[in-house]
Amino acid sequence: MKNKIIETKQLCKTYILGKTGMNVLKNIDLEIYEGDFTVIMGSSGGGKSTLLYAISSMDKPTSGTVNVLGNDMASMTEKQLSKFRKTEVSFIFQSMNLLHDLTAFENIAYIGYGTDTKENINKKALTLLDQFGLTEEKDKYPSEMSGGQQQRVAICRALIGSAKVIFGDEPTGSLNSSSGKQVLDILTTLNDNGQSIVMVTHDLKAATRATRLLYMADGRIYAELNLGKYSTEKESERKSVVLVFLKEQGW
Amino acid sequence: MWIKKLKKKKLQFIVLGFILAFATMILSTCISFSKEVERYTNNQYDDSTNANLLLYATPGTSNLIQEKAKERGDITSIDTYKCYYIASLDISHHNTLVQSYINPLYAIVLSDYKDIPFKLTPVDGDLASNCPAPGQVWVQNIVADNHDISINDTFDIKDGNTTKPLTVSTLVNDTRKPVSMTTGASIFINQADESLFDSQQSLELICIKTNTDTKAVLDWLDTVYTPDYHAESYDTLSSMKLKAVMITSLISNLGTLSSGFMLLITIVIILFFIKNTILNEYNAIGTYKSVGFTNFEIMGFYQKSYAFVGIISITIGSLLGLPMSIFIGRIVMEYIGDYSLSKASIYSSIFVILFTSLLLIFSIWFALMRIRKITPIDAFRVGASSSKAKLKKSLIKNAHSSFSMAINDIFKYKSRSAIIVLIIGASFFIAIMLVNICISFDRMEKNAPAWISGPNCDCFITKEDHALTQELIDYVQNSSYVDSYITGELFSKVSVLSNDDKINIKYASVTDFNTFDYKLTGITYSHGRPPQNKDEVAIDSRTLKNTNYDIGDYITLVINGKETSLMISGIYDTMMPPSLSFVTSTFSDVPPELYYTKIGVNLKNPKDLDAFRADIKEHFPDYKFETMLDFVDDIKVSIMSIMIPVTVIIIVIFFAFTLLNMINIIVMNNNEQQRNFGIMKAYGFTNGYIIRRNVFRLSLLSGLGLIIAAALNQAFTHSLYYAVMGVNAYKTEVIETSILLLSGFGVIIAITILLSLPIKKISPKKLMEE
Repeated sequence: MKNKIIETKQLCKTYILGKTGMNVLKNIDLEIYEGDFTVIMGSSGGGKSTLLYAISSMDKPTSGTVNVLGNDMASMTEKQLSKFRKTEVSFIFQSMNLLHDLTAFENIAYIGYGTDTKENINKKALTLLDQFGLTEEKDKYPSEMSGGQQQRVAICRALIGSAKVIFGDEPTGSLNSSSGKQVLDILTTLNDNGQSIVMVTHDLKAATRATRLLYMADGRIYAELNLGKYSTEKESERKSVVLVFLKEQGW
Repeated sequence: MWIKKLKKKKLQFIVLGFILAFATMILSTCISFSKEVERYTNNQYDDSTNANLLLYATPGTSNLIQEKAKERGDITSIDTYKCYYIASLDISHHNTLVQSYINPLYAIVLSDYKDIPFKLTPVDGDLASNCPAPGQVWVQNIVADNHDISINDTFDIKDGNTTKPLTVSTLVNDTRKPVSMTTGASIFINQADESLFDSQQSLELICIKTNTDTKAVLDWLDTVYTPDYHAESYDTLSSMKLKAVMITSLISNLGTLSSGFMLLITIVIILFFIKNTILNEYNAIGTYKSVGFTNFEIMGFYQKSYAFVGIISITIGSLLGLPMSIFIGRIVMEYIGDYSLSKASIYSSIFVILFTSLLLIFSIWFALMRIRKITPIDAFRVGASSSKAKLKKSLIKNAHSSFSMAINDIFKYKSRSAIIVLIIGASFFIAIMLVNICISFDRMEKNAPAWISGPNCDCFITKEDHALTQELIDYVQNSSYVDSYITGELFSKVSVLSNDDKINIKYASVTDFNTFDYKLTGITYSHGRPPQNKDEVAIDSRTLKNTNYDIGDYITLVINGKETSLMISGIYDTMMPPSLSFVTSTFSDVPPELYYTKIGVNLKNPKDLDAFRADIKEHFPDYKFETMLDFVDDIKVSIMSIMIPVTVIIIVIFFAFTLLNMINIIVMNNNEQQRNFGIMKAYGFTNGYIIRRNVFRLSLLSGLGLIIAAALNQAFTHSLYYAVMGVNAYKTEVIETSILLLSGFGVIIAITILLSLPIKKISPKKLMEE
């Protein structure tokens, strides 16, 4: 029996545009489990990213409850949210969003300081850079690295604090297919090692890596597909299953 | 396109506009002010109807001079006016003896102010009459302001057993007394009231016009005078004019220095903003080029937007300088004349507009030249959200705390840091200088050694024309209030002359004391030392300026008719040249009532001044009890009435300029860093951490700026002050300067915190929408 790490009940999010309100999320009841690679897919404007912001502590819902790792998001103060983001969760952005005035090493270590001793964080940062083939890029600034390198640095940054859940908003969206595959391989490996991941994507190849695929449209979750752990050998089979599932949903 | 740029960065352009307007306003004000003051003082003093030389002479001297002048062809006219030196007449104003605060006081008989060969300008009261009517008196405006004398006040003259009032009917500006630094004062009376002054020393005010050098005439007069017929004192047109412009030139110099700084900083700031804008818009510039815009067209977008705002601001600022010039001019010229603008101000305003506009346009174009080096591919590689700015490595490795990151930020963004330090350093340097200059005037009486090379005693006891008695000296010596005392006279009446043509000391201030010990007098010279024995003399620097005399040289002086050779022990600065200092024993052959009339007392506790005064008044009621404030109060009050408003105006403008710049830089910084702040929040950094990082950065840079300001003040202000005032009276007051710096620092930090508060509204969600 898997542990629930994220639970939402009647989650709604409304944006006010001028005089009208736009309901982006409509009464979503959702459970996400520990150890899963949960991928949320759907049509454009369906509310996928909005749902991700709401369950990752980056945004507050209009109504409903969001409980992440036993914490009620609505009742947390700004300070508590900061601590939560620092120690419990981590985020990978589509456009990397590295701090442009810090080197690759600093981008990783700076985020980690405060969660452990400086010595340990420095060692971990170097280990991560090495692990992801970035040792030579350690002292480079983001403007001096390729998109793939930057996204790998972003992943290292997400891993430095030993977050319990990693959220990803289209992490391969800005990358070419080779870099994108590299990133997906890394995420899959992390998940194989027990890391819980929640990801939003348009990319079919990314969707194939999921252990659990959710389809979302018009602010609601319509369908779910459980795939189990990914393996390279069964990739094309998984791809077909996913494609059929998505076509049934009208994707 | 350029209009879109303007709209997009509205706040930045508005602030830049204000900054430029302030800078050109001060520049325009200073140039207009200088021109108008020069024009006005030239009109007042260079008028051919003015006498070049005014003598206050014994009766009959005028006839002697007129007779002898026939031998010379260069004296074009001699006008004589009846005058009285008021020494012992009981004249009271509001129950106070006028001579107690105005000394020397002259009463001049006036029949028509338009006919006299110096300028009198009625400014208040009866402006229609040409002279005071019987029973009336005209008073110099500067004297009236200094001593609360108003129209319709009365001067009550005790005539035997009766008191006769003279009503103040008109206040006049008098070119002979443009500033309070000229000692004494004159009142103007009607001929019918002359009899009231019969008991006083009658003099002639002899006004001489010459078409040659006034000094040559003065030297000639020295050969003409006899013991019965001679001038007691004199004034020259050139020295009156010099005194008139002394304060105006100080203000003009300060204003020009301030405006120069401000303009320089403004140009640097504009160049910085343009460079920053280009770095941040690299991608956009690359896009323009990729779709076919030329360098010239792209540079044109920026040029037009900056130049548009710049030229409008410059024009507004420059034009605002004109009413500002009138405002400051009327304050400064209050006792010289009526300040108004002429075509010269219009021309100077146009000049400022043209000059600063051209400077601005050229500077902008120069800064935009870097656009030519940007290629589309270069720009695209930077990306939409990255800057092309070259970054430095972190100074503090493994930094995490907000303080250590602030230090790293300072070094990574060096040009920004340098701008902040430059703005704060320059602004506070000007502020420190102005505040301390004001204080130097305000505390003149406490710095008598610097201003008039006088002793710094708490009080002086004297009876005019009476030598000190042993009874008084014993009383002072045994008084429980007294710590120490010196004896002598600050302005003795000993005649000291020189046979050397280059040394003009006929009307010199002659100071003598039994000792000039620093512990008792506070007197010290920058060159040499005060005299220590009867064979030594110290002389002021201006008197010896064109001579070869130096410390250790011997000079022959004629003291009370007897030639004496004395060694020059010291050369000092004073605002009342010519001036000589002796020890009392040098005058042992001179009647003591000429030089041994004052006792200067240092109290054990200066707070006992009033108690000691009451004690002396009780035991020696005939003696005058004075403080150094009594000697300098006149000068101080009128200078401060000018310096304070002008200083406040300049400081306020500078502070506004500094704050606007700081606001601009902080807002620019926060806007550029919005993305970074969002990322930091997404990874758990609190609002407090981010704000503290900003505040630490500004605090460290502000602190550095303030230290530089203090250092610049120490390095330069003394010399500047000395160059204008001629005395070493400038002192940096530690307490006031510290208060100024700390207050300024506090305001900057408060502004930084206020402007950093919007950081709280930055949501990490914003990042995802990019």
